Amino acid sequence: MYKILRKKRIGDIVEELKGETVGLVSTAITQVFPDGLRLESGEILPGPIDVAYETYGNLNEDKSNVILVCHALSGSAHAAGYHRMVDDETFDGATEGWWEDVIGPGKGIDTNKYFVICSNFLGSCYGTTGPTSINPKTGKRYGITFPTITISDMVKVQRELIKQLGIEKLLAVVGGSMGGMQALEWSVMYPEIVESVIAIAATANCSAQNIAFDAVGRNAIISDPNWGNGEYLEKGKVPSKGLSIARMIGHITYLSEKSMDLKFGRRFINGKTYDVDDIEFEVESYLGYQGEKFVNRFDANSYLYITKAMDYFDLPEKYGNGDLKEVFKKIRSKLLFISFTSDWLFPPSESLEMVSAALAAGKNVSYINIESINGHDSFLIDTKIESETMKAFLNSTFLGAQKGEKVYGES
Amino acid sequence: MERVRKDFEIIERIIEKGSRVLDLGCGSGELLSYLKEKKGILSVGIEIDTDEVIKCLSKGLNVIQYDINKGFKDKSLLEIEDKAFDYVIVSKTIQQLKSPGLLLEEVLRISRNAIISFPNFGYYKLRLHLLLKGKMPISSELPYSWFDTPNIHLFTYKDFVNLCKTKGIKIKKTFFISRILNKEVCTEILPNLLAEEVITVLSYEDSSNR
Repeated sequence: MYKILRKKRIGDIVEELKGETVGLVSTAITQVFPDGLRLESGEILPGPIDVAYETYGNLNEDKSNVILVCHALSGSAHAAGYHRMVDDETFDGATEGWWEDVIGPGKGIDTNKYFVICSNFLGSCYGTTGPTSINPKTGKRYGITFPTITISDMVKVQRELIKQLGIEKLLAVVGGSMGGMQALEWSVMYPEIVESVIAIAATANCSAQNIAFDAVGRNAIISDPNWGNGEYLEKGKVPSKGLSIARMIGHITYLSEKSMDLKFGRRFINGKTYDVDDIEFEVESYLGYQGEKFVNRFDANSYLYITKAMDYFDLPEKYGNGDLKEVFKKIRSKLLFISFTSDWLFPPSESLEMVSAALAAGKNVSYINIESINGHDSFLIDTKIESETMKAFLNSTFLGAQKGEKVYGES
Repeated sequence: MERVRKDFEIIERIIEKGSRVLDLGCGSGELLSYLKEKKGILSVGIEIDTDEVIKCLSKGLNVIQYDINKGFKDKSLLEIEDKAFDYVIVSKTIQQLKSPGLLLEEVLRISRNAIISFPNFGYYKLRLHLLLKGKMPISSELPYSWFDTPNIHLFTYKDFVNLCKTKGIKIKKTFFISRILNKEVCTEILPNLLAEEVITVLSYEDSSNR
């Protein structure tokens, strides 16, 4: 998810993009739940819990301009701007935020108007407590002894962070994919805090097919001999093969048939070798590269925990006795759903299902289905209409909230 | 100040305060904004065009991007419950749909009332155009050439009344809009000849359930 800009120096980037980027940023780390957190599973995660987060823009006087951005599976708190990255002794490089196209001055999520917060979620490996963290009780890394977490546990940690920052109301909770799941769970768990939700390329629950893909990914990791019952960090060996295969499978589901055809087609790297164990096709080589890149930046146990949390996610089962309409009856937020035509992981039909249920529950709901060929990843790539849509929605929601506009379906 | 469109005025008078209103083919949301302001209605628009959808969002309207031709019954698409709305408005859109008859049934399934407005192909100027020029009529209401018009189902007021009769739909109210000296006025005389646009209020119910 990180775009590493090796060719450019950070100073040049910030100068070049002056007024179009939040510029040089860094991730802050704070601690919440000093006495630990009771998780949805019933287990207690010992405190304090570290939370990594970034903020962009300025908080207004009545603290009414706060937008919380939730990241997806492999994302981090670094959503916008640039991190200084010292590549080696001689070169000063930069990493770009994963939603730099969307968050910034004058952009879809306009940092001239809004105060934007993005935090790394619980269980991840980018600063917030997760399997790579040290268990304060044992002084050792959690590894596979990290308790099983859910999306709502992640949301609880985010809620605590917001509270610590002195914020009591969120103009919007925005997220794509698994970020959309967090945004939706926010609106159900804390209806009085969340003014609006933008759920992009999301779903109310993972389908059997989604779970199947995740299961294959987890299997790949667990079957890697280096995984060694999850204690690989202690032993200094990393299940790179397993994690890499998991990423390759994931990556296939993020693209579309058409985008793969356009990118690789049936092309060979160096013609046919008639060698079965050779990497011959361009698409093969690309996936291998994606897998390798991922191994360098992600933790295998985190991958297990996060995909499990995603598979457990089931709004209708958890809050509506199986009925999604009942779930939406509990919320007060304005809803905006965004889907992409070529997304087959969380397809438009799943967004429409949520739109239908929200409509039946009598809620303020809007929906846009954006034309694109880039599959599930579209929300990170095809950001033009996505940004315009969010900008229009956030603008009118902000104005409406200032005027104290009545929430639809409330008497 | 911009003059309010005649059809907006009429539709505003039909709808009670606080009604739940769905506008099918809501465009940039002009009518819904007007109704929201005047009547404080709880509104939703459905529109297929991306730019129009974004315009609706800017106005703070609820809008759903969707192709009305697909109906509202399919569970894997946009599904709307029976009688979810008090009024469904189909403003100058019905002549553009693939199956206007089926849509009419769908509208009255999801809503207690329907407000359907349409250009009357029986309007005398259109008749004269065809009679004297022998070509498909073009007017301010129907400005397209026959080969690139979105208006694929043109019909007269009388045709519409017949359709409602065969489907057992009651026409509760009708407003005929004509143009005199470039000003829109309501007319009652020889409507199928003099009305350029017709607005009807429909319902399945026998008693006028207002």
